Amino acid sequence: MQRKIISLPAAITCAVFVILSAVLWLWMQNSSADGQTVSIFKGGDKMVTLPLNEDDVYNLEDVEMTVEIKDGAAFISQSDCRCKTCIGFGKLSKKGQSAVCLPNRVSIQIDGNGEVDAVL
Amino acid sequence: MKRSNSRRVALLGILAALAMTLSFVEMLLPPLPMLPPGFKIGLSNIAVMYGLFVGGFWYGIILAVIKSFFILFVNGGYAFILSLCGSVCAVSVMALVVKLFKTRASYTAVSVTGALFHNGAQLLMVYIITATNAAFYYLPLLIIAAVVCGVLTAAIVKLAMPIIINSQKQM
Repeated sequence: MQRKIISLPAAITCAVFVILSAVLWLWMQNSSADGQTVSIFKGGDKMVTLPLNEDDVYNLEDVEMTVEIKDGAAFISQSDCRCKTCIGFGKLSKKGQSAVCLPNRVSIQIDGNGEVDAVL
Repeated sequence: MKRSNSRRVALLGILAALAMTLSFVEMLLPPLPMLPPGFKIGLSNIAVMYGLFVGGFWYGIILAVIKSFFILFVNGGYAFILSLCGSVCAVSVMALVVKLFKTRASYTAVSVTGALFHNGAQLLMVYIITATNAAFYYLPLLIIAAVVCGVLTAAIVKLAMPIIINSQKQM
């Protein structure tokens, strides 16, 4: 029997996966409030939590990476890693959004609660 | 048989070169909107899947490993680990699907399963490396992208299949 390009069970399963994921994603976007803080993690340990409403430039210790907060959004602006994928994540401003840098084992995540480490 | 073995090796070389070229090409493409920047549309998996279908499990694994080493030289160590994990996992699961269902498994079924496990394994690896669940934010998008790209690569493999089989008959 020739191998078909697509079968009905496969098509249905694919559609189910896509629909469920799309629903989940839309639900995530809808219930995601504007972020209030950004948490910066290195190697799993939370380094600092900074408020998004204060423009800031945070340089991580141990690694050559800079996280900037500007106009209510946080983003990785500079990194010494080879691929610079982390910078490509762009500006994050909604709760749950994240960016990671694998060689430096750094990740940043936007939270919605109000606990901060630095208030000016 | 010696002749048959050298044919297999030659084909492996061609597919490996193809996998590396496709890998390079998809790096040139701009990042897709909404998806995490490291995401690739899986063109190189066309060659790997092809190798799996015509050459079997180990053929596919060798192609996956060669492709990952290419990524190592171009993109560095962490991209290598991610590529290796994703590809080896995907090839293993696809080989399992092919073995269990034989020709009852459509190209799409095999390809999408491989794509899902590829993305899943990579997401797991990112979780292990960063030790936070920051990356799981992208899970829904990665599932959708895996299905879409899986269907795409399945179509291309299906179109390409008769070419090698015919040329092998002529060799």
